[in-house]
Amino acid sequence: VAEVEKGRGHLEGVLARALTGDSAGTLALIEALAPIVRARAYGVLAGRGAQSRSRDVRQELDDFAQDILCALFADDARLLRRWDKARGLSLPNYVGLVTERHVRHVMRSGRRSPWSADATEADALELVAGTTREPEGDIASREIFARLWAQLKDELTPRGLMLFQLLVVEEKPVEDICATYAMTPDAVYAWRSRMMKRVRVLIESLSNDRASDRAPSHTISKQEPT
Amino acid sequence: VKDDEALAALAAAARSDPDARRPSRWERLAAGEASDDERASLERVAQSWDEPDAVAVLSPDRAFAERVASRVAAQRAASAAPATVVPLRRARVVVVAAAVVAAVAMAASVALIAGRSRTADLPTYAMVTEGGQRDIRSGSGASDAVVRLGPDSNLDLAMRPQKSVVGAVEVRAAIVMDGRARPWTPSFEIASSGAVSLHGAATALVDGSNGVRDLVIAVGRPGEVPLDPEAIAHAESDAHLRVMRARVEIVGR
Repeated sequence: VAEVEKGRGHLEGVLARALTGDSAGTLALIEALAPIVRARAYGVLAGRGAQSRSRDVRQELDDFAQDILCALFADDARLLRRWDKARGLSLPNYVGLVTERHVRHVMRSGRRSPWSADATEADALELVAGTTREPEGDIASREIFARLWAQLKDELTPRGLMLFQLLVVEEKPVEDICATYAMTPDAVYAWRSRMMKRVRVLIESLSNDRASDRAPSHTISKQEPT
Repeated sequence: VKDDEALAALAAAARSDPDARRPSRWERLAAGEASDDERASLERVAQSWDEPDAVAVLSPDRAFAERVASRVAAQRAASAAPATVVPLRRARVVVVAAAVVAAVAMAASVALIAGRSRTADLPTYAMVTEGGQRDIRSGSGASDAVVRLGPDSNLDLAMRPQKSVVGAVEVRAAIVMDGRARPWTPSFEIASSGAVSLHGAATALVDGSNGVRDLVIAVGRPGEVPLDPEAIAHAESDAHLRVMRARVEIVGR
């Protein structure tokens, strides 16, 4: 936690320098945000499956990432200045959200759009920031599923994380996802099926771990009465 | 555990994770911070999800951040001082190709006249060739004439609107060679009238090998200029987008 906080503090310091127009600070901020922008933009672009394979995805990704990063600094860095950590999103998550919305918009319209209205409406950002809810269930199962989530997250690609969010967390209808992300229903169902299969394997593995963790103490407790 | 229950519990766990949307290992890869083991692990992950190119696509390009930083610097400079049209030179220009252009894949919209409409129709643009008089209306195809550019040639292009533009415009350009379009990102000037110009050594502006290529320049309202170089290459002019094409040949490199 301390490391994370330290990282966040460092990033905010870099942001502050960049907002003064300092060129070294600007470069440092771009270096810090570029991986986030690239990973999130890739997640959306890769969803197109066969379509994306017929293009130079890397070049396309570079174009998107460059545009998004430059747009963050446009108009005296209006988009960056609009970030407010009090709303609940970290700066990387805010930039990730801006990225995803922009790429989605471009894919839908075929043209770049002005940045004023669509991608970063404060209301929408607040809505996203406010979606965190307490998990249901008892503490033990919450811990198990937190571990399961951590493991699954590590095994997903950026595209997989996006699909997990849409299908499982936001429970979006498949047809909506297909319409917004230029995916086919077959591709979405195939991904979901594969993900479910992996979830079952992980659950079984975690259950086995848990059972083996319990076994020794169980033996001792049996012996205690004697 | 039933599938539905498992998914509901996983969704709850993801909602509790403030970084649920961040593919941390992939971000480390994109930042150039992944170890060899981690990279190999990500390769396996990508294969298992049928995304064989993911690692290659996200692997870092060392110069990327610097390219973006220079774009941002140009953007800041453009907003700090109004752009001006660079006058075309008459003498000593080996080739004054007509005009225009454009610019930038570097992008960025420039607010030309604050407070005025940003969505009004654009006037027709014309490419003007100094000395040679080759006027090409926006929306026409590439000129039949090929402008030949040697190692010492300069390239001067100017794209001028028939009347001053009201509102913001932005410019993007692509080079089409051997049927393939790629971004073209020279430095450009946008005047307050909406005129767009480009001047410089041909070898610096048009990189690549000897051969014929089409320069496609699109000037449009913010958000109306296609992002994809293929889309620029095939774009047609309309009320909010003006597309100009010039054919050049690089020789003697």
